[in-house]
Amino acid sequence: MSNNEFVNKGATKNSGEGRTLWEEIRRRFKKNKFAVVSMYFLIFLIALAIVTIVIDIVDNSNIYNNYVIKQNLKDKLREPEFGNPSMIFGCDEFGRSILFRMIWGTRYSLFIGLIAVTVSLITGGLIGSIAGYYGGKIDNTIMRFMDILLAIPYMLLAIAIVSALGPSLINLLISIAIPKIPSYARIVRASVMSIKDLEFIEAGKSAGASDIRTIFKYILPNAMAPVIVQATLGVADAIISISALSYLGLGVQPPLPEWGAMLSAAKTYIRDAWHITVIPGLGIMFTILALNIFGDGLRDALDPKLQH
Amino acid sequence: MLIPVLIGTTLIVYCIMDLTPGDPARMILAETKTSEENIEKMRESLGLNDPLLVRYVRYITNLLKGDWGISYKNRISVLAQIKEKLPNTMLLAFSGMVVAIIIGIPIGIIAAKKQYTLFDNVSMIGALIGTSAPAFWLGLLLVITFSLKLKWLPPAGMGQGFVMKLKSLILPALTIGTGTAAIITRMTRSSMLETMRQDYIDTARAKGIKESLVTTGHMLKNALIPIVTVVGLQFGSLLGGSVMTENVFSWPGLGRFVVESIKTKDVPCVLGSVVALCILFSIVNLCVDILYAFVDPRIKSQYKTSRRKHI
Repeated sequence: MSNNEFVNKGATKNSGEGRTLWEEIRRRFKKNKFAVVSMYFLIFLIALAIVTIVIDIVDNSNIYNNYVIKQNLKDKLREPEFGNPSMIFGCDEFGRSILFRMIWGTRYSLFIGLIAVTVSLITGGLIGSIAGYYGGKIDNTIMRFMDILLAIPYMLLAIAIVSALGPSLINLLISIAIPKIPSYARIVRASVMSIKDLEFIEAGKSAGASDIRTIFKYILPNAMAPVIVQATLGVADAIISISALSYLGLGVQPPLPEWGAMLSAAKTYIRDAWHITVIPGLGIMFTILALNIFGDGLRDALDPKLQH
Repeated sequence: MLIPVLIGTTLIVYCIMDLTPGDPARMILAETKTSEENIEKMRESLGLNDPLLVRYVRYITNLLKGDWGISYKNRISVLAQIKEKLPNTMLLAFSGMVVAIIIGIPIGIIAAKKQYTLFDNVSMIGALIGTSAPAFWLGLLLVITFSLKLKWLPPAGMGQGFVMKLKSLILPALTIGTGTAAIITRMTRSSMLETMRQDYIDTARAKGIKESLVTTGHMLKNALIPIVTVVGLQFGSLLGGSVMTENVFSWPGLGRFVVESIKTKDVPCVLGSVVALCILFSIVNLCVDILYAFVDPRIKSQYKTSRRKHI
């Protein structure tokens, strides 16, 4: 937490109520009931993903192979039954329980989305802070290149990259992460530029801090607020793109239970069974909804000036 | 700005497509079962043996001359194929935008006028769901409801003749427009709430102008500037979103064409479509800038005063 020391001290002085900045943010965030519910929902999803991974490790993927992957054609396209817990969402085109596939599928969207955003955040953040800190020619060159990347429609670039590298989990991650770099670079650059001329940076420099130390220790921790919000909303975007690419057959490949890949398989059976199309989509929608509400709540909590 | 963006995008896409495994010469001659020697000859005639940059520069010069290359797959001119498909994509994007504006602006206005009522809450929740639902899934849901259950509208493709074309356009336009409609609703609402609190609205009311006229003539007119910005920005994402929507509905547009071309590694087609989409995007942005002058007389008067100064 040493990085936040400066932020904390500054805030305590300003608010004058003896609360640190993070306590203040938590208090403001808790006021927004929807955002809190969304946060718990997201924590639940992440827990579900981790628990299923642990289960797979402990019992040697027994449940995974028998209930998520193994085909059982006599239950093909079975309609949802509300009395039977494992059949509450019905079965897919190979007679596999959609409930199990949904639960085991949480890991793909969530973790690829999170990792992809982290990767593009770190790369974009580095590029943006270099451009913002040094300015001038370096800034111009980097940002013009970023503008060009931004001019290509996001989905188009992602599709082109993933088709060049071939469909696999890692390539999907790369193809989602690269097109997002310029937007993070822009945000971080704007943040850095608004901070780098403040007095405390000058003070740090005059005390002999190197450029790298100034950027990482003084500038970035103070430039983080808009970036965190953008990253939360970015995860939502990434999850939509992952499912979209999987839907096109370029992302996670069947029989892996990714939600978008499930939709892609469902399209063939759209005339026979509605539930295999509706349910995975609802899963995606609620996840995105939770991320959006959480992101909005976070933005309001971090920057109360924005609230009208 | 258009020229560097075009050079940059084509260079990036060219390099990416070059990394893709698969040999175009072999793909062209795949069906003929020809010898290795012929494949080598083909490669030579297509200039595939030259270094990457040489090929790229040759491509760009040809592009500027109006020669967009020939499809590797069916030997049809890329320009001809794009000319055939571009109007369909534009039709889809524009109808999506029309749908979004027709839904978004009235709901946004009413929500702002009735802030904190049931209508406001319901429409804001609706807008949140609209931005959260993936477009391709929404499209599938619409197909299930309106094509398969109710049998009102065709599930895929583009119909022939005006009526059939319009019928087959409705579902894709709704699909592509919903996300944008949600964003426009939110923007309209917040922009209206902003202008509502201005003093000139009270002045207008005090003059005895009818409330409906105050809303349309005074509030909406002033609230329109940020809305126009959002509409312009959203056009880009609509063009990008056409990729998914066209695939769901088998709509014969550029988005579907580019995905198919990428899958078959048809480099000239991919590059041509990307260039066409980027040009379209830039033109739309230009149009939005011009539209500002109409919406905001202050911008127009800036130009006028500066001209007067010159005289």
